[in-house]
Amino acid sequence: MANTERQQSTSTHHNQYLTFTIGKEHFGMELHQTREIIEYAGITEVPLMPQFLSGVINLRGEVVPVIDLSVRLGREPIKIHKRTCVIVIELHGYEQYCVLGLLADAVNEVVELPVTDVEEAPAFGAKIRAEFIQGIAKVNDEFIILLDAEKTLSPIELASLVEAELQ
Amino acid sequence: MSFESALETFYVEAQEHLELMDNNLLQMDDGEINNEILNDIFRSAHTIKGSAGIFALSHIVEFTHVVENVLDRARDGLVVIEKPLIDILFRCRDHMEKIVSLTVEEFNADQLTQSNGAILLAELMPWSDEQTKDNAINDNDEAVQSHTDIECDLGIGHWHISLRLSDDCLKNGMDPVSFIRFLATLGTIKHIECIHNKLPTLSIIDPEELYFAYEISLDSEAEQESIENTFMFVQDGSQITILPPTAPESSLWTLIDSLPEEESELVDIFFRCGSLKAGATRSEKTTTNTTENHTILAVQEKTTPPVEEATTTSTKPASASKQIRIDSDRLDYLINLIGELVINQQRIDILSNRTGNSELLEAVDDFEDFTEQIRDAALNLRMVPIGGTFQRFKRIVRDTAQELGKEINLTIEGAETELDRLMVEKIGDPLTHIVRNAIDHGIESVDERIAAGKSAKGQLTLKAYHEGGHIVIAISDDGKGIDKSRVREKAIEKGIITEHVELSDHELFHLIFHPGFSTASAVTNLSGRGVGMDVVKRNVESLQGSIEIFSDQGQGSEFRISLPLTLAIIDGFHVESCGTHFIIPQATIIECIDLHSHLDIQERNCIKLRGEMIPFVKMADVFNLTKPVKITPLNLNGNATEQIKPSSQELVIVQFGGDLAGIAVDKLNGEVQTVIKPLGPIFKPLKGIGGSSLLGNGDIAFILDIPQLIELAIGRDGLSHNTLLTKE
Repeated sequence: MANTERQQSTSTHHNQYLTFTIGKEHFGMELHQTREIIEYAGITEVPLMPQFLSGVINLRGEVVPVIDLSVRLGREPIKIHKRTCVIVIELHGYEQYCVLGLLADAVNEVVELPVTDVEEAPAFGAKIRAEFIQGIAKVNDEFIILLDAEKTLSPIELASLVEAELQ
Repeated sequence: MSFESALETFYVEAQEHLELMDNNLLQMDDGEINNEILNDIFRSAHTIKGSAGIFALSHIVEFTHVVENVLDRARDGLVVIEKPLIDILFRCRDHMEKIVSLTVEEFNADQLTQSNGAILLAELMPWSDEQTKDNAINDNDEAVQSHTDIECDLGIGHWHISLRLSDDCLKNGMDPVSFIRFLATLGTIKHIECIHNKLPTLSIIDPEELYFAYEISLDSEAEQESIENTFMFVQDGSQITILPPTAPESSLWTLIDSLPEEESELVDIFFRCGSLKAGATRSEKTTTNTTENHTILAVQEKTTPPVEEATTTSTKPASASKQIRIDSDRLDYLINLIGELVINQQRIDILSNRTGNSELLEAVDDFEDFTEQIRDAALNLRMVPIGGTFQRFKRIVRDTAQELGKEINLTIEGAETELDRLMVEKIGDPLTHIVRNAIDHGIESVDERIAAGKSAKGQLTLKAYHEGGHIVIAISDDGKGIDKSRVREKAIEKGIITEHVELSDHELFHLIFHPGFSTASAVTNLSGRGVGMDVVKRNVESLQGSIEIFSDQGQGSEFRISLPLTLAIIDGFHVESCGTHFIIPQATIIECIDLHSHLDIQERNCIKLRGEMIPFVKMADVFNLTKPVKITPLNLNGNATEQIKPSSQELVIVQFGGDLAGIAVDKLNGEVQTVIKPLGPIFKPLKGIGGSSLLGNGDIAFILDIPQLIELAIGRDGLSHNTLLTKE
């Protein structure tokens, strides 16, 4: 990337992000948290679950919950189509590590961004809870919302949402 | 579980906790100081101390207690975590690792380690509030145990005391150690030697029998009478010889002759005690009152030892038994592989059925048979009776009760109940906490009990039994029960609930599991730090289990832990409702019936079966299931689901607790071997589904948790609790 030329000191370090699209918005997530991307091939719904929890899939013998990120971020449920895919991510923040699938309309690319290019999340305007946003970056003239996966998909919070739904 | 293997478990666990501590300390060192980490470090230290206490590893308990204290103060914000403290805590951890690797004997012989420990404790002093007391304990122990000085003179005050206490000594409540402690108050114990060759093999050991004999050398100015009085209560059936400093050496030889042990051995011991001078031999005492016979006998004995040794070794039971130790990781790997094998076998089954090739089908049938056998055999490797775990509570109960001055009778039931080894290991800690709490907070003191019109002796029961595919471990006491108002007060005080919250008994009791909750006003060595109950709950839940509390004020409490039989593979029954696959654990199923023949009363959700009314729930109702619309990439409109309520046709009768209930489903698909895949933390609030499993064709099925499912149904359908729980 052209950005590397701007690297002035060793303290500037780069983060890699996987970018993807949901609806018309572009999002990014730290690459080291993502494990793989698979084609959407049906999903098993889990009874009584809130809308953001689409269901579970069989990932080579592992049962993995799939989240509709669109609902989680307060938007319309994602519409399933031919290019829908599942981004499989790993979270280590909770007591045990947790594997989740995220529905996305399209996965775009891996970008490398110097920390200096990532701007702080605006206090409002993104229509997303500020704490979910790690930062905002501009890549190829498009704004990309870089999500904080640990916060957005915290198993504890998701579980409490499930609990609320069940009551 | 033998004592050795229990000890082995302790070492492994201690190692784990030490590793954990290391990681947490490292995080703190990186500036990540928060309560969670501090709590974890504290818990590690607490657990090591507690477990070491069970095995009477006093050197570990004493040291760790101080460390734990500092950590506790840090938790309470009385001590600020700063760099120097972290450094010392690191060194303390390392020291703990060192002393955990030593037995008490090795520790006592290891002067360097001892002094290191003392230095560390001294360094901890500024952060600890208990240093004086603990140092006192250490000093005392040094006086009693670590004197290895063999060069002591036969000074004026040199007494030799030889103790052969009666076998019943312990049964009568007399602990030889307490006498020795008392002796230490009369003077200085120069040397003490414990003779333990009477100790039998573990399999036939009677824990209430005293197998030890002691030879003590005491440096004291005391009167003979006061030393003799020490043993006033144990004279019956005991052989106690007290040789005053003035006694001639010949009396030592008389003593040696009268003792049952070998002369050569005794001479060594007496020499180490300093009661016999180096080089002293029997020839020096020909003028003594021993008879010629004795001398000859002694000489003969001296020539025979090699032969005797040979015979003793040959009579020892062949301890190289038919057991081998396996690394549990390897076993788990095997079980995982077998899980995959089972899934693959089911796939082959489905595929072969499609071909209709009878030879192939036959072969697949055999294959299925073997797979099942391999599975059972492998799972069996992990099954151990819970008795071993229960057994160690005898000691805990005894010690704890003694310490608190309570009288407690422990009853163990169902010790033969088998449980997955993994669970047996992990359930030990939670059980210990519950048992200690029961003794500390539950069972009252003797006076209180008598005042309440109960028998002076408290009753504690540990019970294990099977119930509908689960194993239940119940810990019950006849103590004062849980004081609901106190729990409430405390919860409000700690800010766990607000004053206006109305709670059911059930919810109130569960407040006990809240981190940091503890009703005891005094912090004792045993419990009352508020650590434990939250860990108990978490440990049980990590085993896919649940914990219930039942308590009647004044009558006692019962903690009931319900655990799945195994964590890996179960026999399941595959059913379908509205296209969703479910597995019902086979162990809970009584029978299956056709619901159509009972159509007349279907609306009432209750059927009459052989004269008995059985309530039932429809799976589709409980889980709000609707007829499926396959959502595939080709069928995009997932939200245009038709709302057709299905007609359930089959009824599975299941047992839960002592009662029967029916579950109505669309389709019965038959038995399957179910490899349990946990659903993860997000689905924890989902009641009625205990996990998931993969079917032969790759589809996901949900494993039903029957007791939870029924509860859920009761909540949803508004059925009165009595309809289902007729017994309770």
